[in-house]
Amino acid sequence: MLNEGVLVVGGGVAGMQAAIDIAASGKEVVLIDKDKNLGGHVKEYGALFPDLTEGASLVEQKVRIIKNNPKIKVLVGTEVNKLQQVEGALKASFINTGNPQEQIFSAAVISTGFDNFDGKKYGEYGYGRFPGVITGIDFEHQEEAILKRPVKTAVFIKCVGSRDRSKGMPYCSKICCMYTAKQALELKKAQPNAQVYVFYMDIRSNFKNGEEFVRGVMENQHVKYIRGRVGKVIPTNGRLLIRAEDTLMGVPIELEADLVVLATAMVPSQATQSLVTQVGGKLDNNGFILPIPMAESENPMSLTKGVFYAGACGFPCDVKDAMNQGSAAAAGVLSYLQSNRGAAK
Amino acid sequence: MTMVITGNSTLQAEVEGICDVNIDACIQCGTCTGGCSGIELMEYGPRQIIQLIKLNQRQLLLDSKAIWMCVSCHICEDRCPSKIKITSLMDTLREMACKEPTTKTNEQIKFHKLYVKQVKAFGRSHESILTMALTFKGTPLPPLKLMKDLITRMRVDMTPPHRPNKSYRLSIRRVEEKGGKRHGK
Repeated sequence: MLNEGVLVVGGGVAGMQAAIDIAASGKEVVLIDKDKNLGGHVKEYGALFPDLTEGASLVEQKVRIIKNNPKIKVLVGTEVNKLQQVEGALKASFINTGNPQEQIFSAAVISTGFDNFDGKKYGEYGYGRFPGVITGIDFEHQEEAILKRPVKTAVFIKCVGSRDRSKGMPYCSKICCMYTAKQALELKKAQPNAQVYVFYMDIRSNFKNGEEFVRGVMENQHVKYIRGRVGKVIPTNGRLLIRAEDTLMGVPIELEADLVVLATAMVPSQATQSLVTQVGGKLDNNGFILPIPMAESENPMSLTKGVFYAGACGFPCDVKDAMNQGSAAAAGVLSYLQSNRGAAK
Repeated sequence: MTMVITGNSTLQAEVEGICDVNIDACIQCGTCTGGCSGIELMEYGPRQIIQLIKLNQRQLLLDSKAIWMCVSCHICEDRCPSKIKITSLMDTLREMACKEPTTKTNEQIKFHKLYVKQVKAFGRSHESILTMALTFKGTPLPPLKLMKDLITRMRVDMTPPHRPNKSYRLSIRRVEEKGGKRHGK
């Protein structure tokens, strides 16, 4: 029972970091991801705020470490459909290249990540209907094409899906303020003559160097921030008419744009729910993992006996934070295994 | 203009007592005003109306034209991220304005009262009678040319109004007895 390995579900940055840290201490790790490649959402991202590291190169570095460590076994294109606690260990069943498999693990890290909010739920913004309306995630995926296409006016709309009780998501997705500022910066750098507007309710840049980054976008790139949430996007003469209120002036405003970017929220992934409930964990009202109260758990990332979590399956977080949580979960796993060994003696 | 704030808003407590809204849930995002269909005619948008309630500006609000220019299209309410029932709120404010003794001279309220009286009596509005009634209340008649055109082109009904049937009269009585106590519930 003692020599069984550790299962890491989800090969995003949090899961990769956890796998690397656990394997570094000599433990066997099985890293499972349902995608064909490791790296989760981050592998498709361009530059990451605030220091503009390329998401793809970060993932490349982590994948290289994982490949060079024989202790880590990577199973891609594999989905864990059952995870149960059996006599102090964890039994996982998954389908690997068509073959159902079962394996016993002594501990597990859940890092199933998040999904992107579907912009089509906001009919008034016309995502999917009006050409020129894209989401921030589309911007990341098609960055080069978007930056090349000449744009006269671009509008960024924040809080699409975040902080909206009527859509059932009262929480703040945390990263949208920063990635919007970053995308505005990239657009302005690629096309200095473009007019770029950002419609915001509040600017939540509470990351290291976050405030300076957003101020820099405003002051040095002259991106115009307008306080107000857009009411409607109307296609007019081949362009997009934005109707909103400038709440600082208290007047309705209209402006025509060629590109509208919706800063969509992070929503909990479907995979999280079934896994967490199977091992006896709980979800909060929004569908993210409900952590054990701080004063009751030994490790901040612990969920139930031998199960830890990391990354955006707990709550929206940035890449840096996801890696921190991965490391914290790894530390939790190692100390759990150590104390278990002590108990077995 | 300086608004003097003294203590908690009594207006807010009053509004929240009549209608099912939490004024403090408003995050002042301006989505309501951004989509408002009557904003061109309003001196305050829905967002500002909510802020005025917080600031206890009772007289300013109840005298305002804005609350009467809302056509209850529900666009604001539909898009509000804080689920505030703005349409119910507007109804409540209009109701309060009608009861307020100081707003009797307000043009909108005069019109509103006559209009409701007519709908109760005839089941619909009757433009020519409404125009006459407004004239008696001190509103000047429309220009003669306009009146002539409206009548000759049969835009205004000059025949006497019909009397609604019994079931309509009964339902109006029922609404008067029971309804209109609490909005949005």
